[in-house]
Amino acid sequence: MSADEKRILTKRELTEKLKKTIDPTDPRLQQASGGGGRRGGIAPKPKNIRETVKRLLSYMGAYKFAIFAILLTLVTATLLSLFIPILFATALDDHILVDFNLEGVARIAFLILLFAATNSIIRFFSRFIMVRISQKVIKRIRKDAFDKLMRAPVSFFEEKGSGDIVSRLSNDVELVSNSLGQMVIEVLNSSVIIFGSLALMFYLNWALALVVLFFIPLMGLFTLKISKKTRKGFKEQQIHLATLNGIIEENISGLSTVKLYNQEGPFIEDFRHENDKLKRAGFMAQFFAGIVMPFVHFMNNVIFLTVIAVGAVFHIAFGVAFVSIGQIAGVSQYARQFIMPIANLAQLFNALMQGIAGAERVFEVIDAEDEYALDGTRTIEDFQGDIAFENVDFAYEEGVKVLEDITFAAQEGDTIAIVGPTGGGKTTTIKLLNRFYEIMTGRIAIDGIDIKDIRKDELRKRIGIVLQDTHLFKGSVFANIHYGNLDASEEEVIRASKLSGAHDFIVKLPRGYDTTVHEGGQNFSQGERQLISIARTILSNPALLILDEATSNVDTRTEAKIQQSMELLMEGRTAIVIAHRLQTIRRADKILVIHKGRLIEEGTHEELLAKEGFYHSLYRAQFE
Amino acid sequence: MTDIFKLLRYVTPYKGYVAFAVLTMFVQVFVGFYIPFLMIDIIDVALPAGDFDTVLRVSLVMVGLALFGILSGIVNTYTSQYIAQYATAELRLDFFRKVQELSFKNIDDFKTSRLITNATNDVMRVQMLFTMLFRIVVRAPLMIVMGLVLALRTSLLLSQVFYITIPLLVLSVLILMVKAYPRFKKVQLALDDLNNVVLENANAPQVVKSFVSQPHEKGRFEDTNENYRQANTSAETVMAFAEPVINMIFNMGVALILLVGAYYISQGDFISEAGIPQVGILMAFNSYSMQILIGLMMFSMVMIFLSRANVSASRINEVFRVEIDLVNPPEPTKRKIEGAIAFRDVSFGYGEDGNYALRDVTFAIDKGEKVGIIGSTGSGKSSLMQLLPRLYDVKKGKVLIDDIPVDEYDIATLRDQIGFVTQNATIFSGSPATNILQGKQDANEEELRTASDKALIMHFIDEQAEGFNHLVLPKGTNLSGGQKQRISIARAFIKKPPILILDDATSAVDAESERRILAHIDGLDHEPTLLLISQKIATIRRMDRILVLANDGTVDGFGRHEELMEKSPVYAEIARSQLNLGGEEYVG
Repeated sequence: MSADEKRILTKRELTEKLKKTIDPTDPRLQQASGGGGRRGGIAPKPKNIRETVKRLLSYMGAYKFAIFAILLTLVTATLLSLFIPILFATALDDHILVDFNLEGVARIAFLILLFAATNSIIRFFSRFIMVRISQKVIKRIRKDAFDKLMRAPVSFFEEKGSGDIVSRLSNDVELVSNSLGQMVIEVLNSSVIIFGSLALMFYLNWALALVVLFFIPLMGLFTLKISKKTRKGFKEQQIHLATLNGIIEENISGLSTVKLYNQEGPFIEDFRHENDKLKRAGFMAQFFAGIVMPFVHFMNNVIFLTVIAVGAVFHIAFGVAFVSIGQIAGVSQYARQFIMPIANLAQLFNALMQGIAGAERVFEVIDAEDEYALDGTRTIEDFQGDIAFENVDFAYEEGVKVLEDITFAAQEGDTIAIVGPTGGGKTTTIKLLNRFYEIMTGRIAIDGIDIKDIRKDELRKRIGIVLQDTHLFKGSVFANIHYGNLDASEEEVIRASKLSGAHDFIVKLPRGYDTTVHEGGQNFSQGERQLISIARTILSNPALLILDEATSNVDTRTEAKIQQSMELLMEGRTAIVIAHRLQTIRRADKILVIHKGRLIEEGTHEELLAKEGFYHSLYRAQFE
Repeated sequence: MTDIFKLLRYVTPYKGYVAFAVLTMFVQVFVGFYIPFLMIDIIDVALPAGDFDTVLRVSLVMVGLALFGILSGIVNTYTSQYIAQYATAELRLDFFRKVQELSFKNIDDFKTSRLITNATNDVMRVQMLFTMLFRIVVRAPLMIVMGLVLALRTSLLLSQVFYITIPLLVLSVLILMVKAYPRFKKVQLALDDLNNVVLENANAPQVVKSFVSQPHEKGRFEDTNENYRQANTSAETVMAFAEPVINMIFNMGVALILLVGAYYISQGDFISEAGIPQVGILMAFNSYSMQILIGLMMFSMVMIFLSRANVSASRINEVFRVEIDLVNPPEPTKRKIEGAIAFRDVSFGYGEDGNYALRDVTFAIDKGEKVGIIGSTGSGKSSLMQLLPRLYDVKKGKVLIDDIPVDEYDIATLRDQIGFVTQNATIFSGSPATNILQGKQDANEEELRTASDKALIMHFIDEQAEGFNHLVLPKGTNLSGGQKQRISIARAFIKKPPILILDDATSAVDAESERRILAHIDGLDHEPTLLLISQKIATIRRMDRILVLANDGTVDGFGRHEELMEKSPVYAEIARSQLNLGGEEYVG
C-alpha cells in the first residue's frame, strides 16, 4: 500500500501500537516498577508446570532427605505454636476461673514459653539449613546455564540478545531462588496454620468451629475476585510504565536532537498524556491491591465477634458444658489468625508461579543447542593456509538465503580482499570459516580438509579474527591482551603489544598496562580498542587471519597505525580481509566482489577494472 | 530526612485527601483496638451474669464498628493511593520538564544515565514512600500510641510487662538491621560482578569462541557465582533469625501477661463485684500488647525505607535545584536568518578548568557557501558546530549569524532555522513520519515525500507495508545505522533551514548514496549554507572551502583543497595519509 493513500498517524496513535509489543510479565519490567515479588507482580503463565517442577526437584535430589526432615519438623513446629492459644484458654478456664491456682498458671506459662522456644529454634534451624541448600541449588542451576552459554552457537546469542540472557541468569534465577527458599516454607506454614487451626477449633468446640468454617468460602471467593481485578490493573500499569520509561529514556539520551528541533514542548505533551494514563492505571491497580488488607482486618473482626457473640449466646442458652468462656477465648484467637494465611496463599501462589516461569526461562538456556554436539574429530598440528569454498550456500533462517553458491580458493600466504555494498554478505562469508554458523550446502576446506571434520576448538584457535567493533573485557589493558594466549609470559604480551603499535599509547596512559578497561572498553577510542585487539590476535599467533577494516570514526593517524599493524599481521599468513581501503585492495592477491549474496566478480584490481563491471562502477562512484 | 520533606510539597495540594486518609487510618486503628475492649464487657460482665441483652447490644455495636472499619479501610486505600499516584505523576512531570530546560552543560555535569535513573527508579521509590505514607507511616505510631494508652488505661499493673517486651523487641530489630544492612550491600555488589561476567560473555561470544577461552570464562564465572552464593547465604542467615526471634518475643508477652495477671488476681486485683476473676481484661490486654509490638515492627521497617527513599529524594532535589545557565536573552531577536556565519576569536571549553576544546577561532562564511570541516578526533569539530544553535555558550569571543551574536536570538527561533544532523543519528519511537515531521510539524505529505526522497529514505519507506506509518521501536532499534542517518537527514531537510550542519552524518551510508545525498543539497530550492564535518578527504574536497582544525583546537587553515595542501600542515598530513594508503578513496 502506498503511503499517500494512508493518513499519517500521530505519535500518540503509534505509541498505542507500540504498547502491544510490550510483555507486561517481563521480569525486568517488574523490577522497574518496584513491584516485583509478592504484591505488585503479575505472574506469567508457566508453560509446563509439572515438567518444570519435576526438573527443579531433581536439582534438589541430593538434599531430599534434609529437605524432607526440615519440612516435617516445620509442620511440627507450626502445630506446636498453634497450641499456644489453647494453653492460654486452658489457663483461663481451669486455673483462673474455675479453680484458681497460681502454680497451674505458672506451669502453663512455662509451657507456652517452651512451645514458643521450640518453635523458634526449629524455625531458625530449618531456615538456616534451607538457605544453604537453596543457595547451593541455585548456584548449580546458574552454573549449568553458564556452562551451556559456553557451548551455545553464536546464533543463540544473536537471537536472544545479551540483555535477555543476563536477565535470565540473574532476575529469573532470583525468582527461582525466592520460590525455593522462602515460598515453599511459607506455603507449608500457611496451610498448616489453616488446617491446624481448624482442627484445633473443632477440638475446642465443634459448634463454634462450624461457625468459623462458614467464612472460608466467603474469604476464598473474595480473594479470587480481587486478584483477578488486580491482575488486570497491574498488567495495564506495567504497560503504561514501560511506555513512559521508554519516553524518558529516549528523550534524555537524545536530548541534543530534542533541543535542536525544538521538540521539548511536544515531548512534554506526550509525556503528560502517558503520565496521566499511568497515574490512572496505577491508581486502579493499587486500589484493588490495597483493599485486600482492610478486608482481611474486617473479616478478622467479623469472625472474632461472631465467635464471641454466638459463643455468648450458646453459653447463656446452653450453659458452660456446651461452651465455656475459655473455649470462646480460644476459638476466637484461632479464628483471628487463620484469615491472614488464606489471603497470603493467593499472593504466594502468584509468587510461586513467577518462580516456575523464571525456572522455565532459565531451563530454556540450559536446553539451548550445543554446538559441540556436531563437532569434528580431527586434530591438526598446524595449517598451511590453503582455503577453499566450494558451492557454499548459507541462510540464517530457513528459506532466506544470504549466500548462494560461493566458490573461491586461496593459496598459502594469499591475501583475499572482499568488497561489495553493505548487507551483501561480506561479514557472513568470513564468519563461516571458523564455523560460527553451519553452511547449508557445499564445502569449506582448509588444506584440503573439510572444516566439519576438524574439532571446532582447534580450528578456531588457529584462525585469528580482528573485527571492526572490538570487544574488550572489564579488567586491565594487560589482561585484555593476555587474553589472546593465557599461557603467554609478560614479555610475550609486551612484545605483541609493541608489534601491534598499541604499546606507544598504552605506556602513555597514567597507569600503563594496569589501566582499567571499563565495561565494553568505553574509556578507549575505537582505534585504540582495535590496536589492543590486534595485539591480542598477534599474541594468539594464528595460522589464518580474518580482518575487518575500520571504516569511520577513527582519526587518520590511528588509522594509519592500524593499517601498518594489520599488514604486519598478514605477513606470511593467509588472510581474508573485508576491505575498505584501496591500498589493501590493490595489494590483495585476489579480490572477491560479493553483492546480494553472490560472488559476482573475482580477480586482481587491474583485472576487475579492465572488466568494466560492478567493481568498476563501485570504484568510479568514489572518484566522480 | 530533609529531602523527602521537601518533596512532600507534591502532597500538599491534596489536603482534603490527606485529611480523609489520616482520619480513616485513625478510625481503622481505633476499631482494631476497640473491639477487644468491648469484648471485656461481654466476657467479664455479661456472660457471668447471663445477661443476654448486653451480649446482643455489644455485639451489634461491634458489627457496626467492624463495618465502619472496613469502610474506613476502603476510603483510606482510595485516598492514600490517589495521593500517591497523583502526587508522583506531578513530580514525574515536573522532573521531566526540568530536564527539558537543562542546558547541555548541566546535562554533562549530571550525566544522562543518572538523569534516567532519577526519572524512573528514584521517582518510583518516592512513590512507594508516598503510598506507605498514609498507610504504614501513619499507622505504626498510631498503633503504638493508642495501644499504650488503652493498655495503661486498662491496667497499669499489667503494663509492667512492657518493661520487658518493648526494649527486647526494639533491640532485636535494631541488631538485625545493623547486621543485615552491610550483608545485603555485599550481595548487591556480588550480583553486579556476576551480571558483568554474563553480560561480557553474552556480548562477545565470538571473541570467547575464537580464542577458545571457555575454560577461562568458566573459571571467572565460578568465582563470582561462588562469591555471590556466600554473600547471599550470609545475608539470609541473618534474616533467618528475624522471624523466630520476633515470634519468641510475642509469645513471651503472652506468657508474661498470663503470669502477671494470675499473680495480681491472687493478690485480689481483677476480681469483679460478683467475685469472679476478670479474664476479659487479660484477653483484651493481650491483644493490645500484640498490636503495640506489631506497630513497633512496622515502625522500624518504615525507618529503613525512609532512609532509602531519602537518598532518592536528595538525588531528585539536586536536579531541581540546579541553575540553568543558558537562557533566552531579555530582548530576543526573532528575525529570519539569511545564513552568513562568523566566528570571532572564539574560545570554548566544556569545563571550568581552563581546558579549551577551541582556541581563538576566527573565520567567516558567506550565505549559501558550502564549507567542509576536517581535523582529527578531538580537535573540536563537533564543539565548533554546537556553538551555532547555542547548545553551549562560548567562553570568549563571539559567534555571529547575519552579523548578530547568537546569544541575542530567541533560542527557539535560532534552532528552528538551523538543520543539524548529529553524529549518532537520534531516532525516536513512532514512525519515519513522526521523526521527519519533528523538523516541520505542519508539513504536508508532499513536503514529507520530497525530504525523504532527497535523503534517499523514500525507497525504504515505500517498501514497508505501513509506509510512513512503519512502526519504529524506541531509539530506532529496528532500523539499520544507515536508515537512521537517512531519516535524521530528512528531518533536517524538511526544515528547509538557511543553515545546514551535517556532523559526520553519513558514516553508515555507502559512498554512492552519500554522494547523491550531498548532491541533493545543491538541489534544495533555498540554497542553504552548508557546514559538513567529515574525515574523508574525497568528500570534503568537493566543498567550496575547507576549515581545518588542529589538535589543540586552533584553526590550521581555511581555503580550497589545493591551497590547503600547501598551507595547512594538518590538512596535508591527513590528505597524505589517505592518499598514501591508496589513492583517494575507499571502496565500500
